Amino acid sequence: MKILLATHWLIPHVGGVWNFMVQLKQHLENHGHQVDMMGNSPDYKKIHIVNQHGMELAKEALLPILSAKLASAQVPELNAHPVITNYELERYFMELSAAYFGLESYDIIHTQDVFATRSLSRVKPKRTPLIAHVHGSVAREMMDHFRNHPEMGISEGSPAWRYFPSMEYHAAMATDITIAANQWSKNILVGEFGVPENRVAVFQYGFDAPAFYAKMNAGTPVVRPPGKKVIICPARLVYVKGIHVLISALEILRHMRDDWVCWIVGDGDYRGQLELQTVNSSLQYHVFFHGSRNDVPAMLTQSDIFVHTCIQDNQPYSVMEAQMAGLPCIVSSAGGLPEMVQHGQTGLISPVGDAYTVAQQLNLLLERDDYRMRLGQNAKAFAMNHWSMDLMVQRMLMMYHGALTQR
Amino acid sequence: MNQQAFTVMSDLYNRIFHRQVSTPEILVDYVVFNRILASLPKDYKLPDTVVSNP
Repeated sequence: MKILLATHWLIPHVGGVWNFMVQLKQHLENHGHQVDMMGNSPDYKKIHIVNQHGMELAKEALLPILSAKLASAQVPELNAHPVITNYELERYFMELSAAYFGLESYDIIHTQDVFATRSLSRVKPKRTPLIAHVHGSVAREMMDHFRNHPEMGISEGSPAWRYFPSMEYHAAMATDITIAANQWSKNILVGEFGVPENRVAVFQYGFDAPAFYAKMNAGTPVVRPPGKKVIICPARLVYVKGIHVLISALEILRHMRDDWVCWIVGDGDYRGQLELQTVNSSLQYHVFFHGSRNDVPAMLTQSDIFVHTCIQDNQPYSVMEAQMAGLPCIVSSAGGLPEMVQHGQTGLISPVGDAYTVAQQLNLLLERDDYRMRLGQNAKAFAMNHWSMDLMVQRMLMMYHGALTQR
Repeated sequence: MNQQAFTVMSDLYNRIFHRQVSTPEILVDYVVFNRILASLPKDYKLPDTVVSNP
């Protein structure tokens, strides 16, 4: 089969959807399929098929005609708010670029976000199946953003507010099938955006175990301090990852015991604020900010407990990595996390934002070596089966073949 | 856009817009737009009114 993986987001990029696309491409090609990847260029100035030299179209070739023909005088609803105008123009760049590249030769189009899904549904040949993956909820994130930024003037029920749920719904309705990584994502699509249940399939992401273990065995210059246990939290340092909850928990934990350090691995806009919180909590000799590193798998081997106290997350790779490394996971009940960790079997789950419970759970696992190690062993056994990349690729191919058969 | 491109009036491609307006001052690359028009479905229109006017 010839397959097009497409996204509205930037490619190449660090992490997230790009990693997923690269791994999927590699494994599909191992099965003898041909895979192209389309998306925005890293500078946002063109749409390109990143693995095909010369397959690109600059947005400046399209912007003048679109701006002139879709101006407020002609299309006031499109210009009701700059948020709608900008997202729609970006979508039309993708639609016209996809037509420019030509979609005739693809057997399957597999999109990675609602914008690319809606766009390609409008320009693909009718006979070509369209399968969409959802890696989170754009509408939910945008609505949270609008709530947290009232200065934007986007109130509930306004056109810009309604735009994103409408996009989620119409994107899902334009596909042969939409794939969610967990029940949480599916429930949002069905419960909040009104997508019929039978249009959404659920199966978990796969994980490239051999590549992970190669990195794990490559080692790290970071060494655990003698006489201390290591609590590790690899995450982007942004509000939604809830690191501030973890630091609050560590402040409580410090009054319970002193035989631990915490490694925070990652970077982000929130780092300065988190470092300040650490100092204000007198934790500067317990909490260490390592920044972004590419030896996280090896750092996991130097660690005892993984913790992720996020406010919202879908199915983070960091939890899969920790489980593959045999660490017990202390996670919040946010998003898809309760579907990744079995409380009392592979880790412990705490309510979102509940620093006191996190501190108690950390204390328990630091106190009980046997329990901590049993949870870690269970986590590894679970991960080896559940996050199998081969399983995910098999399921994906079944989806592709099923969609082709129904055409 | 390619400086050497052969450009034509954008009005030649008015058929893809719901509300057609003359903008003779806007020029587009003839090769690029002919290639785009050849691939677009016959019923393709801009804007996408279903989602742009929720």
